Amino acid sequence: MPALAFADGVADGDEALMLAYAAGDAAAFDALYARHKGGVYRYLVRHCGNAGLADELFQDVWMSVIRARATYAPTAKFTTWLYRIAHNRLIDHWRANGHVELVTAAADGDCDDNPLAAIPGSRNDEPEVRAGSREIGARLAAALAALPPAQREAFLLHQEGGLGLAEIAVLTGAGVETVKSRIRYALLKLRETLGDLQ
Amino acid sequence: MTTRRPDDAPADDLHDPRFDAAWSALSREEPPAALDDAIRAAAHREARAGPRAVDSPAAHVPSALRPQRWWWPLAAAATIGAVAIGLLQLATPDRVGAPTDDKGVLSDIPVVPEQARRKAEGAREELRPEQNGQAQERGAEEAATPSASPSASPSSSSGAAGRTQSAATPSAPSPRKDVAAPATSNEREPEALTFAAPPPPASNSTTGKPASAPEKRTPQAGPAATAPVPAAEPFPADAAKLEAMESAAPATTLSKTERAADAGIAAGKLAEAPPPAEPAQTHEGARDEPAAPAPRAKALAGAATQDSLAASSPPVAESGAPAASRAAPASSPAERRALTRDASREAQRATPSVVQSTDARSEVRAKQRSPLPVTDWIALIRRLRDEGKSADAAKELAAFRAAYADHEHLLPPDLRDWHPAAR
Repeated sequence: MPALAFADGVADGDEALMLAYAAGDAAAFDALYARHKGGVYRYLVRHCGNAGLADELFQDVWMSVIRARATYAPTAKFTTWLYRIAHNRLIDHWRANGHVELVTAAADGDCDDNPLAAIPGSRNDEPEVRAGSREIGARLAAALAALPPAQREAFLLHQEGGLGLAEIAVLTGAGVETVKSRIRYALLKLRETLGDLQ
Repeated sequence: MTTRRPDDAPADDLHDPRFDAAWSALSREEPPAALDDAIRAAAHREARAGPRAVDSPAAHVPSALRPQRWWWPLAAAATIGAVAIGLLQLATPDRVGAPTDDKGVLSDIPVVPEQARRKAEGAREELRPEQNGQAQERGAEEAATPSASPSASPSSSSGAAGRTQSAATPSAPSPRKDVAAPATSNEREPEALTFAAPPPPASNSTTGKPASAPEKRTPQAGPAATAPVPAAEPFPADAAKLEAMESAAPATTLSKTERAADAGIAAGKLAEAPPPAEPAQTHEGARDEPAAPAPRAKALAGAATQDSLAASSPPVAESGAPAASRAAPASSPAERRALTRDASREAQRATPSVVQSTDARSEVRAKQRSPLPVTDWIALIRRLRDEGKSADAAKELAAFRAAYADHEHLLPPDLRDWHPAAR
């Protein structure tokens, strides 16, 4: 998991891989991509609730990373730089579509009544497992969509990106305590949603 | 499940192990494989097309492909130098070194020295009608007298022998005489060979055969005629005879090299010579002007030779005749004299200063010349006086007085007390 990876100190190697890729090492990019593609993708999917839009945004984010390799400077953690790119891309998308707030999965017209159907599940799951997970996922997605955008943003950055409170605070422009409160409130609401399943 | 770093780890209330496990079980979404491949392919393309390290081997450009520009300045300098040298070579020397205040017209034609022109005019002035008559008489005598040279072949006895004889006459001891006699070195070399080697005409005379080529032998016949060397001797081994020959014709004893040098000088001066002087000049005139330049002496000699030839005039083109005579040969000596007189008159008209200098010179010469007979001189003075030529009459009178010490007794009363100013 990405959070585990950062916690294990492997993140220190992300900057080196990015520098290696900037120097022309394509294998370094493959390593970076394998590490962070899931978190970024889920971050985008959880925000927009649309797989197609998430793919488009995901591709844009990584293309931005590729283009910015020549000017990359390891002044911060690579994940912070990567999720900042994703965050800005989301904001650009929302601004381009006239959405000020984060778009929930329920509000997306392309989605069915069940918002979890838009979320791509694991392709290796068995049908019964997929059915159980789909139910849990649907309820979790509904609970996540019900969260305020700020709480959802802080929660996703913390949960999928593995960013700390300070990093989230810098990225979102809020205080650390504010971020902490948002994350706490988000967790409480999600626990309540998943409480009866457990 | 999720382990947070201690620095920014949220509070314990942010961690719920059961929630994290449930979230992990649900959050397994991955981007499509096609999207993964597209992104990886784009990343690889950018990596290959991106900038490379400076010290990478691919960054080194082969030396053969580098622009070799170090020789460009040298090539430019060489080109400029070549163009400058070419322009200097093409430019005429007159333009290169021409003075700014040069008012004259540049010409390749040599300018006739003013001094030479004056001397030529002086020599012309010296020729009096009576002297011309003497010269004609002498020329007639020389022409009438057959060649005195025993070695002269009968065929060459006509003009060439007489001409060379007159040229080698002791009356012209000046070294310029031999310069004036032949016109070119080609004509002079046989003369030198005449004394350095047995004269060919002599052999001809011994065999009794007439000269087959009298034109070729003509220059050699002259010195041989003047020298008392027997024509029959094949080699002039006798030193006494050589000395006698040299004393008889000192002008012809110059070595071949000296003659060649003189010929060069004569040729150069001949080119610079003014229009030919009056041909009716005598050897006396040439004697009176020792400082006269070689062209003038040549002209005088040529004129004298022509006069001496009188009626039997050979082709003139080969001798030291004036260039004008060679350029337009006249049929008779009288015509030649007329032509040269006309030319000299024109030159005199063009240069009045020359006339003035000639008058002064004739006055000096009048003092030095040999006196005329008293009666003739008195008649000349009277005639000049009566013609209104008071200046000339006064000059002649002064010359008469200078020539004769007893002029008071010789002069008639009308001339004794006559003064030009009195009239």
